[in-house]
Amino acid sequence: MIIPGQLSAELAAVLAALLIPAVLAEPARRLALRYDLIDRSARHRVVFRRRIVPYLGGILVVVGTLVPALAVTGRIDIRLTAVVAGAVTVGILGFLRDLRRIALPFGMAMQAMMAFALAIGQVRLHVVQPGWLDIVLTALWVLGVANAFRLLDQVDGLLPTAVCATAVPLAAAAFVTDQPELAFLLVCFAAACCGFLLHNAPPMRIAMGASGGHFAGFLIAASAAVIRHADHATFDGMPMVMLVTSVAAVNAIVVAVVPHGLEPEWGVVRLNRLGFTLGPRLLLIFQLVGTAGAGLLAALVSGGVVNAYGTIPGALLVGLPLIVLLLQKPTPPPPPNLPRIKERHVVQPARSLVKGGLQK
Amino acid sequence: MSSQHTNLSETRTTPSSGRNTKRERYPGRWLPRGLRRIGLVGAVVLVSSAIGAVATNYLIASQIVNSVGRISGVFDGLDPATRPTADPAAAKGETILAIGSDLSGSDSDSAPAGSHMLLPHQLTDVIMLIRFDRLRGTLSVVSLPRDSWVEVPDFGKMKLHAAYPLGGPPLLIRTVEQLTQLRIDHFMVIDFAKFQSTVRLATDQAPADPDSRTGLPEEDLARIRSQQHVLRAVLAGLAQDPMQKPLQVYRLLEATTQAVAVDEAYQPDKLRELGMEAARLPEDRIWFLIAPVKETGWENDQNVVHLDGERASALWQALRSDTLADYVAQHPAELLSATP
Repeated sequence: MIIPGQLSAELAAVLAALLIPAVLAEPARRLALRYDLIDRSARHRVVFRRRIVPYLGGILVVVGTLVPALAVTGRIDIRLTAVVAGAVTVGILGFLRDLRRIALPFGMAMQAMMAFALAIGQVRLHVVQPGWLDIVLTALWVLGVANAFRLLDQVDGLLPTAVCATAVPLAAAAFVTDQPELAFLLVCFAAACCGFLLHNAPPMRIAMGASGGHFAGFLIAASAAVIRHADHATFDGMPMVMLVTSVAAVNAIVVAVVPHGLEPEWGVVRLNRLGFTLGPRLLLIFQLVGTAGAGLLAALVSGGVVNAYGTIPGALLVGLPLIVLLLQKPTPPPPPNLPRIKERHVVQPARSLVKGGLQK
Repeated sequence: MSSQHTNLSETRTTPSSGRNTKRERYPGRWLPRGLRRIGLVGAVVLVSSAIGAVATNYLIASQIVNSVGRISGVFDGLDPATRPTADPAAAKGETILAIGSDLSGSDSDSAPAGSHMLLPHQLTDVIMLIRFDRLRGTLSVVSLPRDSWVEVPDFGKMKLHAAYPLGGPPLLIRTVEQLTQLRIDHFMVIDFAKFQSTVRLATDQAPADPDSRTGLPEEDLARIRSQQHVLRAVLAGLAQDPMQKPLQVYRLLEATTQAVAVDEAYQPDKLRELGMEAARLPEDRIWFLIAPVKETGWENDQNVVHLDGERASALWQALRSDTLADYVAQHPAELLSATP
């Protein structure tokens, strides 16, 4: 166990984690546009897509998280190494998906293998009694959370916000359960997501793509499992597991319930169509406060500060965005005259794509 | 927000009308355009760090308070009428009577701190009064030699540490209160054997081993000094900036609280407050003293320590009225030396 020498180095690492994605986003965006690494998930939907969102943010976030964290932490224990290696592998698989080099079933199968490997390597939920069932459950859970987080990437700014609000309580829990390296990694992850949010905020200039989404989901889920496994005397990791589950589920449902966008600022317009008038950023802050509040409650319940009934307001906090969204009455779509947008940053291939039209 | 997305030309309008439409569609546009992203990121950073700080703070506090042992029945049978009253001038402080064992190599590593109640004869190797003056921000630790020849209520003259096996914490508290006329607010049991391992945590070096006891009072005083050095090292370790070495301070705090048990009436938040305030004190505001000793002598074939009545009562008076700063200024030689 390494006792961190000075926080000044760690603070510098967190700042670096914040700055790397923030600074590199624009070059990455241009690179992605040049090499056609853009969001076009399904052929039938491309027709309606009016904006081009480059995918390279995931790589930025992975680099921004791991490079400062590992540079400062130095040696990490075997379990954390397994978690990081698994997350990176899943991120690389996601990147290959972004490049459209591998098919979805293959990617899923590989992810499931990574989750199984991790579960066999003692990163487990400890929910059910027979060991093999627990391994299966854990693997399925990690797989589910990883793919749920991937969905969040579709709405502007939602993924970094959700990750940030989930990773910070997890980091606090990891610190208290005597796993400072994991705590530090999660703090760096949250910082990298904050830096990335600068460019992912609505309207987004760059998205994480499958690489970032799967990496985020996998890392968060595996961290929650590690905290759950820590088996600390006065700390029960189950509320943290429930937090991650509910954040992933509710946000994925929010994304799925809202019909897929037809307009440029689709996240916004979709919500407006549901009668939501908060605006995209206020909605994100709403989401952030709900998730963060629930994370805080989960951490306090885990530590025994608040008794278990505290999970009820926690569940409500996470579910509030969903409830609010579902209660909205649909209103007519907004008029079609959309704001004019300058195109000076769109580089050549994308411009030709636009001029040529997407409806080939 | 220059160029995030490229819309097709059929929806183009004039810039002014476009902007008007936009303003209509999204309410709450009070921030300039360029600042909106930064504002959002700022909000995320702010909320995340706030919940991180709150969660860590509460979790650590709860872990620590939970790990402190509890002793029941400390103030049972004490008649409030006969107890000394707290000096109104010194109302903002508290006096703790701390006892402990320093038997290194005892099996106390495995036993929780509260279980010390089972071993009364080992418990009173250390008897100290801890006076925390909240108003002036000072902490004074006054050790009473265990072999002090004192008047124990209902039992007559005997060694101070004999009061504990005879009547438990209440009798010891009565004895000390009668001796010093200080009102004891709380009672604490410290495991010095565990404390030594925490010192190793704090300073990354082995602490000076207290001399093994041969029963002579002179060695008793030397032992008291080494115990006080251990205590000072722990306090100095806790006083480190938690931002500099967060994990080390946390480990030390956890280890310290595991070596300590307090009476049940000591509320967790009060205890936390005391710990946090004591850790913030500068080193020159923490005084370690030994009750003034006149001589060592023999009473009924027992080797005992006679306290210096005059100087001792001056010390008790200083503790009662929280004027220990003056006392220390007058008697600088009685302070614990800076190095072990």
